[in-house]
Amino acid sequence: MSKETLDIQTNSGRGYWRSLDDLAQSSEFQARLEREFPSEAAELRDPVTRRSFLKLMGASMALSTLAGCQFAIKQPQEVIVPYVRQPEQVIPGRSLYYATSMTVQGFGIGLLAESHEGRPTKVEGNPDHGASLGGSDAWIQASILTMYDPDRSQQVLNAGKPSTWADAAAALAAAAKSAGNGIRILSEPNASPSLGAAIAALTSTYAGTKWVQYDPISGDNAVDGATQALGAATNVVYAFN
Amino acid sequence: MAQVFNRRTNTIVRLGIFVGVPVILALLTATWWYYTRSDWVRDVGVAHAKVQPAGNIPGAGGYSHQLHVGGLKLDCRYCHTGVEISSNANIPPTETCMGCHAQILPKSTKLEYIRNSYEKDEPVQWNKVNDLPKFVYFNHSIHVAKGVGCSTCHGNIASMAVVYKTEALYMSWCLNCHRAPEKFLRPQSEIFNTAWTPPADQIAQGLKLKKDLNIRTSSQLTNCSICHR
Amino acid sequence: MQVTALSLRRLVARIMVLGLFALFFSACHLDMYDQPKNKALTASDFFANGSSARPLIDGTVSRGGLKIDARTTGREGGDPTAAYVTTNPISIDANVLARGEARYKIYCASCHGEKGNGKGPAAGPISKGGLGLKMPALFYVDQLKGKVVANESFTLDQAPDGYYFNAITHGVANLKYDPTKPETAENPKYTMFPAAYRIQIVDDRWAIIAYIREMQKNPPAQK
Repeated sequence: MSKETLDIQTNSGRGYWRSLDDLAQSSEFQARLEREFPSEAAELRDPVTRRSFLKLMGASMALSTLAGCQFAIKQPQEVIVPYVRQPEQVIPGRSLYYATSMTVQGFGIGLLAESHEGRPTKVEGNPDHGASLGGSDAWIQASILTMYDPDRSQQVLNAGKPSTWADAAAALAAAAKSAGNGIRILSEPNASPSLGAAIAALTSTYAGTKWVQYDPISGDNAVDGATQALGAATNVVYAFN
Repeated sequence: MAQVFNRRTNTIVRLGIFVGVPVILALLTATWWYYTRSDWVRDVGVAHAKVQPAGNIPGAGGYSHQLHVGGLKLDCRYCHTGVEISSNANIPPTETCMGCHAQILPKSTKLEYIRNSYEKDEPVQWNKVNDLPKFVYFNHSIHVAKGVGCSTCHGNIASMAVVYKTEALYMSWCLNCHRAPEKFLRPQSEIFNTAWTPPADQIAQGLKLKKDLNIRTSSQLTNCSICHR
Repeated sequence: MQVTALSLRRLVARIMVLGLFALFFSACHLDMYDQPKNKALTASDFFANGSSARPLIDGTVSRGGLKIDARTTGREGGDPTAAYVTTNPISIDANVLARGEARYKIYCASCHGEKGNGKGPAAGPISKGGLGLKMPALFYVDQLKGKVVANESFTLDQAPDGYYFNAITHGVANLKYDPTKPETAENPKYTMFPAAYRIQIVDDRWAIIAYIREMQKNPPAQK
């Protein structure tokens, strides 16, 4: 500390600092500045780093701006691409609504998905669903973007390589045979009766099978608190009226 | 010491101010108008003759409204099924073409692109003729329901072998009707008549239609969010 | 002299740069004219076949799209294997008949004729096609007598309303269609293509049927 105190004293002129570490120019602080996020947020462990992503985006945006500005005095010629076989229900320009659901923290939330010409465009709560009565939250609103996520899983993968459902079933069966009673299934929380029945069937075949459900953002603490207060595992639903 | 400028310079300067400056301004205005406001820049009257369908498919015969609408008297709605119920009038799927052309001219090379599309399940691409900016939310169904006929905007389609734009679709042109719809309204029975011409007492009839069809006032119709959402 | 030439050149260069900027601005407003969003039937490079319009997923049912009654299936109780309904499930009045007449003239008359006599403008060309289809005077009961409907227990003149509804909705299948061969003029899947995606309002189909029944009862005067 003594060297750093010295640095402060020898600093001449007006200086700005954001923290005592900054003022002291400690080595820790220097190391942190060099990192991407000073706020200690974890960097994405994606092969596409934030920096290279921004570079690519910047470049493509610059290019697209140029493309749009190729001294186009007239509007560029657009094409209309109709259906080959138009489904009976589809009226181009009008939306269709589909009742669907999404698993949030283990529970299916009743939703309505709006679809334009077969493209989902908006997700809202289903007014006929008792749990939401048409309400939704930020995750549900944002879930529409996952439909068009280029990283969205398109097919069965085995160790990162494309595979088929038949191969997956065969591989699972082989693994189950060799593992015997040591099977562990790790999943997000899921209250689906059909998935539950499937896993129950597996458990009845391989007695030692365990299903572990883990959610990084879970309401377990709240449920534990409600258990202590009310004596049973309970979800608290507030009635604001 | 000799004069720097002789007397003639006065005339030249006056000419410059009173003729030259206006001429330059007029030229600039004309250039601006030509490149942003003219029919030319919006391709009015230009038939996309050799490129319908899009993509320069060799040997493809262009779709002729003159033949199908003018000759065979097909109703607009036979193909443009959405015009009464949707914002989009709908461009027919290949299946609509095949509905007749499975049996009519089934071996014509001009129609090969239709058969290819139907067999390979690949859509036919058509050149867009009337291309509204994406920030305009035009709805066909309300216009058709409230007495604006097809030909008011699209011209006499039944006479066009290759469809071309008959209006430049500038906002001022839209407002022309939104300010005074009675100039263009027609009875419900004439909406799909491509050759309709306004009667002598159009304003009187239009005002009556405006009242009967509960058309909003011009101040409501010129509200920004009527077209821009 | 040297200096003047240089400044002149500079001036020209400046004007050219300004002109370039002006061109940029004149062009860039088109970015808002053509936004990357998809309106109905716009082209798309996101999907493989170039169209933003997608087929619906098999087996999905949209809200209000369930077909479980006579009105949406043309069959008794909405059961796809049950008998065709014999009465029109919508109530018929003058408005419905007028609607039916208008819809008939849009979707049917080009082949079946405005007066239901099979003499529409497209009927002639169709008869020259691969199947040599003859456009019957489809809607006059006495001309349909004895014409057996394949795979059905009734003749055409006694075809129930539900049969008409299914013909409009699903088309009339070509019984000689060979699914192993491509759909050509000699081997079409339909003799009448489905029209459900064109006559999209279900009640319009029933209105057309009501109008056809009206024509059969009181045939319009033929010229």
